[in-house]
Formats: sequence, structure tokens, C-alpha cells
Amino acid sequence: MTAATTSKKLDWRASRHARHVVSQVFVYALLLAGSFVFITPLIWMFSTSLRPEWEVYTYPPKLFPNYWFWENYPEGWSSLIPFSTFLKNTLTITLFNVTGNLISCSLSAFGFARLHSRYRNVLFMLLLSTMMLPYEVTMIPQYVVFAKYLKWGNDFKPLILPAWFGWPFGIFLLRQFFMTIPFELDDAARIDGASTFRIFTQIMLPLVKPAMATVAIFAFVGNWNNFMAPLIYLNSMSKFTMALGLRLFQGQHATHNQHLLMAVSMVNITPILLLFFFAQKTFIRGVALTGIKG
Amino acid sequence: MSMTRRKLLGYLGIGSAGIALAACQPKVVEKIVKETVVVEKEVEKEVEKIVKETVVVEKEVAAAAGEVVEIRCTHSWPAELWPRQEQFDDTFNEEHPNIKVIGENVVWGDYVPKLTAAAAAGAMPDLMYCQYAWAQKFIVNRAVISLQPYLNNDPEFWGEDDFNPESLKTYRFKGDLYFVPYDEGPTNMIYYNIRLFDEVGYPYPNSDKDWTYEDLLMAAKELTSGEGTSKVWGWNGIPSMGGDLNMDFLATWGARFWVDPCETKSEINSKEAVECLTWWAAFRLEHKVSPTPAEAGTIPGNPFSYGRVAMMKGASWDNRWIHSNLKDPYDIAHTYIGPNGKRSSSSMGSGYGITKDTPHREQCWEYLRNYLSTEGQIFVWAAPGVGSPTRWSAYPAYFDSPLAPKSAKVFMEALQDYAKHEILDSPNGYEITQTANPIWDKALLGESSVQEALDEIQEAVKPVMAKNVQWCEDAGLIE
Amino acid sequence: MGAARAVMAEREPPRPGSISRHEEIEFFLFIMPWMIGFICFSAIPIVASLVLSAADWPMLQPPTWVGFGNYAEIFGRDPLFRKSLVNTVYYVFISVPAGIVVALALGILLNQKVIARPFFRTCFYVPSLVTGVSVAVLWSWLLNPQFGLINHFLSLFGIQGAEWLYNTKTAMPAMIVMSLWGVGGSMVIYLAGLQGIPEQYYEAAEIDGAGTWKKFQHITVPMITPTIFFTLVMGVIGSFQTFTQFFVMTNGGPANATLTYVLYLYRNAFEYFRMGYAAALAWLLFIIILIVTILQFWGAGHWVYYEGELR
Repeated sequence: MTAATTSKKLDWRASRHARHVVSQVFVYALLLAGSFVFITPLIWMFSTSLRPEWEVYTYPPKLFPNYWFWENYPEGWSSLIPFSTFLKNTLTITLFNVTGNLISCSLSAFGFARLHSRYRNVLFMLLLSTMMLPYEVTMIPQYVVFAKYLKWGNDFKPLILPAWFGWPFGIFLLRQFFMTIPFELDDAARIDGASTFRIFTQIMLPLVKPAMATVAIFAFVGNWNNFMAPLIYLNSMSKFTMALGLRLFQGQHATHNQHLLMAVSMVNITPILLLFFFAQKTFIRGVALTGIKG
Repeated sequence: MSMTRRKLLGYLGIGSAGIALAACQPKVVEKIVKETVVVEKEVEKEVEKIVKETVVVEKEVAAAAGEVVEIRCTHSWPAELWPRQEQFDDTFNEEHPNIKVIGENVVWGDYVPKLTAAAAAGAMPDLMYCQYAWAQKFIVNRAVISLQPYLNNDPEFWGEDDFNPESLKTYRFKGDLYFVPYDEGPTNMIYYNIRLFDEVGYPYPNSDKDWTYEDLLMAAKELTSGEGTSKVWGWNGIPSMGGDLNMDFLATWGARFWVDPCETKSEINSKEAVECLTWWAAFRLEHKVSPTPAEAGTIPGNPFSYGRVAMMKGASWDNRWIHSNLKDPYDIAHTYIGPNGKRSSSSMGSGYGITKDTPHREQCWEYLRNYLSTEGQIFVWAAPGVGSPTRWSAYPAYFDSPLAPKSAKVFMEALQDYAKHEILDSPNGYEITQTANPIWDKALLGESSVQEALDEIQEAVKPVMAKNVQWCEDAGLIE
Repeated sequence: MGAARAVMAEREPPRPGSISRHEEIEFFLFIMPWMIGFICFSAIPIVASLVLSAADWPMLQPPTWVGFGNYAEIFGRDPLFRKSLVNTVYYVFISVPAGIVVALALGILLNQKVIARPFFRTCFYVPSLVTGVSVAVLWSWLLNPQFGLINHFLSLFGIQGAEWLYNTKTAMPAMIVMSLWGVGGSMVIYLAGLQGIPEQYYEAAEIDGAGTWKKFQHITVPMITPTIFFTLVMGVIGSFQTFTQFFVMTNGGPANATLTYVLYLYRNAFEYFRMGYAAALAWLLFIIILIVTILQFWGAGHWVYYEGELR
């Protein structure tokens, strides 16, 4: 080996290293700038939640209030509207629905992704097509069925029951993930005499764990923030959800009490925020795309 | 039997103190008042206990007579007024052991989807709130029942002289009344910022003489100052194609948008209308004394409420949010005198009715007659200073409210003198507005001339207004 | 081996018509939850809305039949039908691809071993949790032409800011920018999709001397296509029906520049009490979305790669 080739190799390594440093700097600059853009509105939301009412409209706007008005939180939470009740209701509905969605969606998605049927494509298109009609025109007929014929007005049942019978978004998402799993795995299991249901529970489900977690998060957020259906179905305040409660701050002529609205909004997103922050490690591990092992 | 006056008035003292404290700005004052309220609340609890003990006896007697009937009433109150509504209902329930009224609150913006879904499923509440713009839709489609039989048999409640006659107009159909109004307010009042006037040394509206429309423009010019982010505008209140257009703007120029009570014909591009709307559009485009939406920013709030506009066109109910947001002293004044030498204003409001789905009409009426009695109106609406009530007898309480502006009497004078309920309230009124406004936007943005925009509106609203003909015949407005 | 061959034989020649009855039954058993849900909860309202599209229904009273009258009116004399459809198509064609690019970039970036990764992920994800009135209040502040942060930021570079929501030309772009703020949700889906790529693939490629770009091009992209396809299909379905933000922020203004299709539909249903007309509008939208979706599935054969696809 000659000296020339060695130095050339070193050069190549050095340049690769330099390129790596540059790319890392670029990545962090991008992340910092991006997260700043994404988080600024929330910082404003937070700062508004700490303002006294007469400082909400200060002009020019200041990012931070003169005095931190933590009283807004207890006041917004309980003085006008019983938010503790709303939180309990929202949690009840959300937890039931996430469970129901995960079970029903994974079963249906497995069927659509990995089992043969002449009707598979047609039925799948039918499933997707249920998402293509705006809810605004189906909600009243649906309400008539539930409230008039089943007498389920002012009841959680119409908000919970459908979740146990499939959710097109979740089914489609899980189908996409089931379809990326090679068939060799099923075949090997079938040789060992495993039934389809065992293949589903013991081989497939563990492999789509990240997707299941994603469906769980989307179901959680979707139900937590769901507004239109609870609006139509729930009458008495004792049954209201958080989303309906937040809406109560909006008056006929203006949005009053913006500081309280923001305080309660902050509280409203906190459970999801914490859930996401801590749960992500369990289902999203990192890969070293740029070749450095972390 | 109407509600115990003393009981409600007892609440009032506490309630208005609470509202007053919300308006006080310095924190220290607020704390002191809060502590006072706590003490008052203790007293209140004691009183309540005594009342409850008395009521229990009555209840036992009543329970023997029959079981308790539950009725639901849907309101559309902002959150901060809800506790007061609950107080009223609690008092009512205590005094009526056979009836249990359950208040429900639906935000104004969600009200129609919620109520129409309920109507379609036959699951409407027993009683409902209704704003003027929706009233005829609910009446024409028989979603509410006629209140005329109850009114005719209840002279104690229905002293018609006590109700502002303008407030009843929207809720009639073939001579019957379907909703009982709870408020009616003029929409063309001048709110003015005393600090900004004093800084320029300009006389307050109507204080030197009765202002004409030209005086208003002159004042607006004088009070406009500064540039960019520190600019102060003289006037906020440019016409839109809304329900207030006829009386608030066009009438004194001798023009009309809709020319008949049925709202079937438009004359929005008449010479007078073009003249009037050109004059007003110039406030923004030519004189630059009114903020554009881009300058004002529709959210957060109205620029008047953060002291950047010297005068604004406002309605009686606007007072509440101005009071809680504006740091400067302010007051209200009569509107200007238009080219025809007269003042003019729209007036509008809301009401309550009994729905088709209720099996308990008698109990519903019992609630309504209490809720909209003088005491009821004072308690929920007038005394907290939320806005102007529909009963003349409730006005003194409104004037005494700590929230009412100094010259609150102007509202009542306007209603008695010139404010008329000539507003877009046909079943298709909202569609007329929504069709016309986007075209009018173009004129206000300077993208088309006023004449062009109004010509286009005239054509666009024709088919919408034509749909009113049928309703008009049904309602007995034309023979 | 014999058993294996039998199993393979059962699956391998899946010509139409030769699918075993056993598998057919299993298919229906697995999709049973959705089938029941569809029949019990979705089918009746869907059929009802189709029937109502042939009626005049003010909701407070029973419907009266008008046949194809609603459809005739839509095509014959409704200028806002076309206007709102054009606005919506504009929104879909820009916001969906832009959303996919941004979300995918974020997903790939945050799938790497960067410091404080959970923090960054949360930062990008959190905006998608804020909904309704709060979003409207926040963004009106950001987009405020006078004192909004966006124009302030532009002025630092000497750029004259726009009037955003108050100008007919910039209102829709402003709404699209706002929609990009909520891409955190799609980012999470991509993160999950990137998890599905076995690390051995990258290791094998590295042994073959593949660089970052090559690995991205030949492993990451093909393996993530099912996820991209998902966000594309769902993005199109969702954006065609975009409503809430427009309803709260602009309510269609100025001069109908942001009047979206479903906003117009909502107006007919709940402001003009014309539910039958709204249902007819909904079914036309349904047909449009259905055609676009079928085209996407048809085109997917050319670019979406499934390792375990049924053929």
C-alpha cells in the first residue's frame, strides 16, 4: 500500500466527517427554526392565559404580561363552567372509544389487508366512501335514528357505540401497515399449524405496534376534540365534553374572556401533550439514517 | 303567582356587585370586592336555608297534588351570564314544586344546527330562545306554538302597553304572537371615547348642537390622527348588507335596500342608495377616518375596545363587552341627523317560545310568564346591565345598573322616538345578507365602484327575495 | 414440506374465482365489526341523505319531493357552487402536496438520533392538538396585517407584509399556510411508517457502500410509499371537505375568496334551512372525491410498494 492511497483515504474520511458536521449543523438549525415557528402561537396562547382581562387587548401586543395572573386557571376552570365534570365525561368517552377503535380497526384492517375475497376491493372502496360524504348532511338523519327511534337523546351511547364497530381512518391506516409485512411470516406460522386468528394476534399485531399506537393517538385526539356529534347529542351541561365547554366562551357578539378561554385551552391540551411526550419513546425508536449510531 | 319580588331583588344586590367588580380594573379593588362578595354569599346561604325550609312544607303539599313535571329550556347565553340564569331557575323551581325547569345552554353560533336536529327528531326542548333572524323560519315551519291563547288569558302578564311594540313585530304570524321578546335594542347609537375627545378638545357628540351626518364626518376627520400602528380613527361603523342597513344608513337618504315588509323587492342600486353608500364608503376609502378590516383586525375584538377609535356605531348590547375591555371613560349619544333632517335607527332583539314537541304547555307558560315578567327581565337582563329590556317597566333597573353607560336613557329615548324594527327578518333574510355582502366587500376593498357593486347586488338578490313571496302570502302580510 | 406446499398452494394461485371458501368466510369474520357498524350506523344516514337530495327539507317539517330540482338548480343557476368548488380545488391541490412534503421531511428528520428528540417531536406535534376557537384567535393574531408576527418577521428582511385574510388574493394562501401548521399529525404517521423499515436493510446497503442519499432513495422512499399513499388519499378526502377553520376564521370572506364547498353546503343546510339542497351538494362532492380516490388507487399500482400485497 502506498502513501498516496492512504492519504487519499484519509482525505476522503476527513471530508466525510466535515460533511457530517455540516449536515448536523444544518439539521439542528432547521429543527430549531422549525420548532420555533410551530411553538410560538402556543407561547402566545400561554401568555394570554396569564393576562388579566384588561390586558388581553393591549396594543401593541406584548408577548408577556406585566403581571402573571395565575388566578385565571382556577377561575376559568370552575367559576363559570363546571369543567371538572366535562373532563370526566371527555375521559370516559375517549377511553371507551380508543379501546373500541383499536380492537375493531385492527380486526377489520387485517381482513382487508391479508385475506382473499372476491368482494374485498369493492367493500374497501365502500369503507373509504363513507368518509366522502360531509358529516353535515348525515348527522341529522343519524341523530333521528338514535334520538327518535332508539330514544338515545342526551346519552353517551351514540357517541361510544359506533367506535366499537370500525373507524375507516384507522382501518385504512392499519391496512397500509399490514400490507408491508412479507407473507413468508404467515406461511411459516401456517406450517406450524397456527390458525389465522393466532397469526393475527401473535405475529401481525406485534409487528404493527407503531401503527396501532398511531391509531390510538389519532383516536384519542379525535375523540377528545370531537365537537359536532357531542353538540347534537348532548343537552344537559352535566353531560358536556371539554370541546363543548370551551365553546361556551364564545358569545353572540364577541369572544369574551379570551384569557380564561386560553387558560382552559392550555389545560385541555395538556393531557394529550403529556401522553404524546412520554408514550412516543415506547413506540418510536430512532434509526440512524445518516450512518451514525446513536 | 309571579315570583317573589323580594327574593329576586335580594339576589340582585349580590349579582350586580359581582358584575361591577368584573368591570373594576385595578387588582386590589377587585380583591376587596371579592372578599365582600364572599361575606355576602354567606349571608345569602343563610337566607336560602330559611327559604328552603319554608319551601319544603309547600313542596310536600304540592307533591301530594301531583308529580313533578320536568321541562327543558334552551338558552344561548355567554358563559359569564350562566350562573345568573341558574339562580333564576333555582328560585323558580323552589317556588313551583310541581315543575322542575332544566336550563340548557347552546352557544349562539351552534344554536341552529342543534335545534334543527332536535326538531327533525321530535326531540326539541320544551322552551327555546330565538333570535329575530331565525324566528320566522321556526314559526312558518310550525316548530313553535302560538302563544296568543295564553296571552289573551293572562292580563297580569300581558299588559301590552308595557312591551315595546317594535319588539313584537318579528314574532307575529297571521296576527298571532309566537315568541315573547325579552330584549329590544337600538343599533345605531354613537359610542364615544371620552379620553380621545378630550385630547383633541373636541365637543362630545350632540353636546354643542344636534349633530348632522356632516358634523359626524367632520368630527371623525378631526379625531383621526397618527400613522400605522399608532393610528387613531375617528369612526368605526361602515354599512354592510345586513339587517340594519335600511334604518341605520339608507332611510335618512330616502333609500331602501328591501322596499316592502315582505322583503321581496330590492332597490339597492337606486340613485339615493348609491349616494348614501358612496358617502359611507368614503369614510374608509377616501377620508381614511374608518379602519379597514385589515387595519382593525376582526379578532382580537373591536378597535374601539382598545381605545383606537374615537366613535363607533353600536347597539345597546355592545355596552357589556366595551365596558369590560375599554380602559378609557366612554359614553353614548343619539345618532346623527341624516339628510332628510331626521334621526334613524334599527332596533332588534330576541325572544322565547314554546316548541311543538312539548307535552307540558301549561308548565312552559308558567315559566315564560315568570321569566319574562318585569321581575324576571330585571333579574336576568336589565339589572346586570347586559342590554336594554323589552318591558318599559324594567328600564329603571337598567339605568341603575353599574354597567349601564352614563347616558343609558338615550337607548330608551331612541326606542320611543325613532328606532324602528324594520330589519331583515323574513325567512330568507339571512340568505339575502350572505348573497349581497361578498359583492359589497369588493366595493369596500376598492376592487369595484359602489355603483357596480350595487348593480350586481340588485341582480343577485332578486331570486332570493322572490322566494319570500309565498311566505308573505302565508303570513298575511299581503292580500 | 408437504404441508407447507399445501398452504402455499392454497394461497399462491389466487386467480379470481378460485379463492377458497374457507378464506372467504374468514375475511368476512374479520371485517365483521366494520360490516355491522356500516349497516347499523352509516348505511341509513347515507341512504337518507341521498333520498333527501331529491327533496326540499327545511328540517323543522317533513320533506317535500322535488325530484332532480336541487341538482338542476345547482348546475343551472347557482354561481356559488362553481365558485366554492374552484376555491376548494385550489386549496386541495396546494395544501395536500405541501402538507405531505413538510410532514415527510419532519418525519424523516425526527426519526434520526438527534438530541432532545422527544422535545422536538412534541413541538411539531402539539399545534395539531389545538382546535376550534383557540386556533382562530391564535392565527388572527399571527396574521394580523398591522401587528402580527408574520408581517413583523417579514419586515426584518425589508419585505412589505401582506393583508393576508383581508385581501382576496392572499386570503386563501394564508389559510393554506395555517393548514400546514397542523401537519404534526401526518408527521406522526410517517414516524410510524419509518419504524416499519427493518434496520437490516440499511445495514446491508451500508455494506454495499451506499451513501445517505442512496439509502434514502432506494430503501426509505419505496418502503414509505404505503404511508405516503395513505396520507395522500386521506388528505384529499379531508381537504375537499375542509370547513371548520374557514367557518371560524373567514366565514368565506372577503368577497367569497375563501368560500369552500362544505362551508357553502353548511350555509345552505343550517343558515338557509335548505337541507335537501345541501344533501344534493354533498352527493356531488361525494362523486368528485370518489372519482379522485379511485384514480389514486388505480395509479397506486405504479408507485406504491407493498411487501405483503395480495395479488
